[in-house]
Amino acid sequence: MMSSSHLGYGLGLRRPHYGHFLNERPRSVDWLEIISDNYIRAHAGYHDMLCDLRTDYPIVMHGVGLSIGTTDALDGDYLSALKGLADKLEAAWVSDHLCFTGINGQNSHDLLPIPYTEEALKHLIPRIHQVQAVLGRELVLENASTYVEFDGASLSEAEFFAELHARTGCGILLDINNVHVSSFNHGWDARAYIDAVPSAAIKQYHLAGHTDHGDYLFDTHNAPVADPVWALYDYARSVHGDRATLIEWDADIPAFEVLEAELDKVRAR
Amino acid sequence: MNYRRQLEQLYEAVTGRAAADMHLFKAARGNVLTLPRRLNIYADGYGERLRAAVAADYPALAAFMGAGAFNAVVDVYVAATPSRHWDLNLYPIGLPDLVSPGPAKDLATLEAAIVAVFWAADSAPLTPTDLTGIDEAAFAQMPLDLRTASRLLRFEAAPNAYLTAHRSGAAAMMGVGPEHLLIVRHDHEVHRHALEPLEYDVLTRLSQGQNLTEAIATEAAAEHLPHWLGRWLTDGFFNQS
Ligand SMILES: [Fe+2]
Repeated sequence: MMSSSHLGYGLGLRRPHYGHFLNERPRSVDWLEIISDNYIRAHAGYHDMLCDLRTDYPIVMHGVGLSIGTTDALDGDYLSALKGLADKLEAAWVSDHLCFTGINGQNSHDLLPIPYTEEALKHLIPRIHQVQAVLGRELVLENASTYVEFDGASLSEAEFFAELHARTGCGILLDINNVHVSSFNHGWDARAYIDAVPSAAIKQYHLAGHTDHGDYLFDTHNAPVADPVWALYDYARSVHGDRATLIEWDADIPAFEVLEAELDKVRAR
Repeated sequence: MNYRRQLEQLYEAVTGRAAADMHLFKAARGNVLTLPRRLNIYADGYGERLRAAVAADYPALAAFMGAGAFNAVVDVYVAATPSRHWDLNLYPIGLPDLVSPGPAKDLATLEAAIVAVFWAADSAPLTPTDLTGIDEAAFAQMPLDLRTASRLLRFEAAPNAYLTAHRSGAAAMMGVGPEHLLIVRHDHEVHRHALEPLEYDVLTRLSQGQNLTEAIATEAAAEHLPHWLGRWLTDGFFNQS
């Protein structure tokens, strides 16, 4: 049986499929994930659309702009806008990434890695508490795909997540594709990574496609889930159990039926 | 090296402003991917992401200028313009500043205005119902504020006609202006309303804080007012104050 936070199997709500969701309300999709940043300052027409869809689907808010790792102050306007939309949609949860996106007032709009050190932990813990206090709910953080690692790390990425969870109560959005991509790129043991993540913290899994450049994997979200990622997903579920799972497809977005077929694959496992 | 300096070093390398101290990063373990190439994955992504964001908002300008000239302007813009907001949607709005005066700048200004109006804050429109019970004298003294999500524009060339043709897939030709426009978001859609020159003058005066009596400066304007007013209210030109 699914627990109350196991929403089932969901898709990211993307523009090409607005009409299909609004008109057909497909039951093959249990819940929707929205990119928070695309909606928090959008006009009321979008909010009306989301509220309409919310009558049929639980909605999870997934952001890219929080920049929890930066040394700049947290953006109060951004946080209160997030909270406003989360309250309006009764968001199942609110997530972003363990990363920084910019510093000294500038923004790369990318999910940049941070060093996994004690100093970083000390910096992030009060910031996560601050975000959770504003949102009035747990913050869920996702592992990003990375291509470079800071030297001098005292913890692995998974151990860093475990510490954050233990000391702030934040949840983890475990992106299985990102574990695979980063593990390939850095020579990590992907299964050891999965083993080191605390089960109790895992709120959700992400599955997505990537591009193989030969000597590195690039996180592109423009393709079906690759076989090694399916295998790692099976492994994660054998270790941690089933969780709400989302197929992410953000570029070269295919027909709805293609995404539905990916969801069928998740359900069939 | 403290945490902040570590982030700054990576950020500077990613945005191409400074070479990072390679000792900050882990050397690849048994992997042929070198550190400079690893950093370049981020640096290439940074440039591509910003260029794509700009290109997505100026399709008609790209067609008008041609790919080579347009991409050159976009490259200069991206190199000179760090993003300072979490919202990438706002990043492209400054591009017209880099386009030389003339029809191309007019077209850039029009496309930038459409983006700005799309993302501007919501406001409720003034409707005919709001005016019931207000007598003519009181109405004449009322300030009428243009919608928060609107831009009043005047162009020497005819970029609006060009944009309309471009969007319909027809062969677009840049005509001679002037064009007067109000770009306004109403009922959740961005509309481009062509204005008569006199109507543009009146709306400009209203936007500068004059009331209706002050703004209707000529007999011709007074004559047209009933017709204009109907459209202004139906199409949501003004904020409900
Ligand atoms: Fe993800």
